[in-house]
Amino acid sequence: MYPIIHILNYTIPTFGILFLIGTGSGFLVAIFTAKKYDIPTMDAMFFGLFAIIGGILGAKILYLLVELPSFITNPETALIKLTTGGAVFYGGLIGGILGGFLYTHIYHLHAIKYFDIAVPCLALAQAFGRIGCFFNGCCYGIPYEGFGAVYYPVGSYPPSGIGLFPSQLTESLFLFILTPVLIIFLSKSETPGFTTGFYLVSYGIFRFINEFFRSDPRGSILFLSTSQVLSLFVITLGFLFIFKIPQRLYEYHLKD
Amino acid sequence: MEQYSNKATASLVLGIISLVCIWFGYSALVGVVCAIVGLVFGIQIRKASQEEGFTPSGMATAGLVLNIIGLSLCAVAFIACVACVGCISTAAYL
Repeated sequence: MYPIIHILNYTIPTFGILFLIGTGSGFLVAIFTAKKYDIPTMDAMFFGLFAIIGGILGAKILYLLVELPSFITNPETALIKLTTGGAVFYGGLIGGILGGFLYTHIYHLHAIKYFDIAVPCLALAQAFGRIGCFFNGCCYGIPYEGFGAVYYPVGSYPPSGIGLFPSQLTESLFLFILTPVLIIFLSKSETPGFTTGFYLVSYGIFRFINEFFRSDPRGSILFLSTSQVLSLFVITLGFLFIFKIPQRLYEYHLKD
Repeated sequence: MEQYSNKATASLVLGIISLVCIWFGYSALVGVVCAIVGLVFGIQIRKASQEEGFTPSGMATAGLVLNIIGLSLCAVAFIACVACVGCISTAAYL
């Protein structure tokens, strides 16, 4: 709808701006969530920065690896592809987790507690990111003519002239609701890792269902979309966290 | 302390480079790399100051702040919805 906005002579991607707003809001929430485990604000910030650095590097490195054959055959377009948004979600996710974990490992901090304080911030950042998707026109929904149907203008990335289900906005709304719920769970919970588990399970289930209402081309594995298969892994991991299995493994093998 | 002073200088310089890179299109990627390296230096100095009990220099603080701003602004220029692009890119390889 508005994939780019013009400020003076510069074109700025709307997704990038909303991603930045989301990240900033996430850092502000971290100031409050960090108090749960008496984590210094500076440590929470640095943990977030390491996770973001890990996420950026992971997304780009995995993108480089999977696109290496096309880069070799068309080296002239490689730099453009690399600079204009080529990134792999799984790489970003794994890189972000490893980046955050690296920070806690280097400075001998309790990683599970840091993940707990980070998930409400992540949910809020994702919520803003999905509004960015809405403006960008990506992640669009199935044809739909009911309440809240979205009509994209001619020339947009999604099909124009027909009503589409606002799948980006439903996910954003869910994440905006999930954020305070996670903060409440974090403040009430006595078990490190429970909030992380709850986030993974709830987001995984919602994402799995929401994928049925999306129609953008995004790959599939058998009869499920790639994101749905990923959601199943995320839900499983969430249940493991709720049953304290990663926490035990961390205490015995990885701590210090 | 010598190593921290050098790292603070490097962090500040990298932060300035990353801020300059914002204005030159595709060089934003170079800016991201510079900001990441500068940020790691800045964080190292901050943590060392906590553990060893010294006050980080103004140069180190300025470097940290500039690198955070540089990373944010450079990332805005080239970041995209990874949830979409990522799935398209990887689907063929799964």
